[in-house]
Amino acid sequence: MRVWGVASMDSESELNRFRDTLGITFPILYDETGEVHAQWLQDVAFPSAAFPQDWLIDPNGLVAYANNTYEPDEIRALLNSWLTED
Amino acid sequence: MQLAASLMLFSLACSSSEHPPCIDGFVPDGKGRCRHAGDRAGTDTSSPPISSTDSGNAPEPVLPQGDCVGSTAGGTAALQELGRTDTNEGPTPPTLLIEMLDSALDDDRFWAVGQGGLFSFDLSGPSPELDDHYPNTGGRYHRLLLLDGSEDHPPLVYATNRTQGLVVIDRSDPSALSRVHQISKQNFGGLTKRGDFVYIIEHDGDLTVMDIGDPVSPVEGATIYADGHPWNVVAGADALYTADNTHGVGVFSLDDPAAPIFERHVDIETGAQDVAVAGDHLYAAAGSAGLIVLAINEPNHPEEIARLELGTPIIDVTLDGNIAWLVDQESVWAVDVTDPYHPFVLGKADTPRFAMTVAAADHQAWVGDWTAVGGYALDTSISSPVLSAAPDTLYLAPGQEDVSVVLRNDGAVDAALSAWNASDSEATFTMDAMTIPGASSAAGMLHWPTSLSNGAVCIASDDPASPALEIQVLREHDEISIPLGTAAPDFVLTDIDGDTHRLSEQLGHPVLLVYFATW
Repeated sequence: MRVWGVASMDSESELNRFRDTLGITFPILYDETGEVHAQWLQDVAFPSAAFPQDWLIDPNGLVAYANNTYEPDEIRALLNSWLTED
Repeated sequence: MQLAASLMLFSLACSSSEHPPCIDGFVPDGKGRCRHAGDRAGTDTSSPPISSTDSGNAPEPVLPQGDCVGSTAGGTAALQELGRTDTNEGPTPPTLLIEMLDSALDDDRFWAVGQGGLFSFDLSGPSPELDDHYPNTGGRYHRLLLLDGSEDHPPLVYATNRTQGLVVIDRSDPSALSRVHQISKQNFGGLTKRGDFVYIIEHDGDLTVMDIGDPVSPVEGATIYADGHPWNVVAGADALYTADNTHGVGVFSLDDPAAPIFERHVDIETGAQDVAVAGDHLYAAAGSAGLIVLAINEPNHPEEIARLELGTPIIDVTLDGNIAWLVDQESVWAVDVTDPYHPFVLGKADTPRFAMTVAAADHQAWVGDWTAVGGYALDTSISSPVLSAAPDTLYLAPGQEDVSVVLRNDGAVDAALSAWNASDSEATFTMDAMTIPGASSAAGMLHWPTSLSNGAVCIASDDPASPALEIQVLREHDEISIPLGTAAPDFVLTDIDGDTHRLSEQLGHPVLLVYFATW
């Protein structure tokens, strides 16, 4: 399981402070040019783009889930189904 | 706050690899059903066994297909809406309050802070009416504390702001709020009052003492250095308690009120987003772990005595007599805590937007619902089931046809199911339970042929708040331009430590991408 934060709308120093304040331990990927953000907005994001946007990529690299509200039970259900398939 | 909620996903990243017989928060009761894990009573002799694992002679009743119209036998819902005002509605919304983080009630008035400042709403009419807000130019506020007036000073609001520090506002005229004092400081968060001191927790764990001998001009006193990432702090009779996002509950002893001493973090195996105190008990809003009750008879050694997991991240808690009011982002809950060892749900109401804060008195709760204020009245004479699906949206993988549907009854009494139906006649749903006892869950199996695209399943029951419970089934996502199951577009990005990550190199592992902004 990988958890990545992705940010493009903040400065690097703001991101560092944010990480320290909240105690975030997963990598925060910095999309400085906004290029990846733009691509994902075009391909897999929401027209009514608002933060946060959560995507779950399954172990085969396929988009399994996308949401712009926080729904932990849905994500948990998907992860559990993958973990029990083996 | 929403990112903070997303961080709680960490707790599920290491979920068990074997298929659990019960969903999170439930344990087998030995009779083939699942009961709330926190229910220490654990005994239910009120209803006959319903599970197929029981060796009864009678065939199991099977939930029939039929019109999805719930029974009215359950009567009216325990929670009724009182009134609602959205600051984002109207022809020219001049004073938008967004992302309300904290609120308080006083004299028929609801006070809330968030992006936009401090807002005051008059509750004496049919719906909340905005009195005034501070400041006019916006600003992001985190927490607030109401101070009563006296002969020497007007009634005040202390509001904290991450970049502006502590702002003291005169509220003697709620329609003309004015700043009377400010202490500039970074990172101020939750705050609480005890005697002549106000204690302010900082997001990096430190605690600052304010001497409020003159409440209009608080004087900064000691700072106690501690670690953690606390959201809020409350004062018990003999100690301060923090809701800590990484360490659970923090404790500061108060032998010398001017110089508290950090004692410990109490490990509750999860973070806490908010905390409230009443008598000898502490109530923690513990995200996906739900409501956790701790005994504080030994003030410096809180001890967990009960846990009520509700299948949804609980982010705020307030006490109203023997009722604990909770909010997740989607709903408000009323929980009976008359016996703190056995809390149980009295009612739940869905909130239209993102509920993040609740304030309550006399069995009425007012919820800060993103940009709106909504009121809910509790009728404690009503005992009804509280039915929900966990999850309430089912995501199907490419080719997947069968998916388990878990129904929770978080209420205290049985839920009687009467029928299921689906948006497409080719779908089938098999469930051998017609009754879900209080504080229990049960599962059925949905067959959704690959020929079907998106749709919904409906469960009819006697839950007055959701007599026709709808569960969305998604094979394609309406809002995104590719079908679910399409290869994710690859990317390479460097993180803020300089390490490079390529999505396509993660094959074999699930990847959760959280696209966020810090503001």
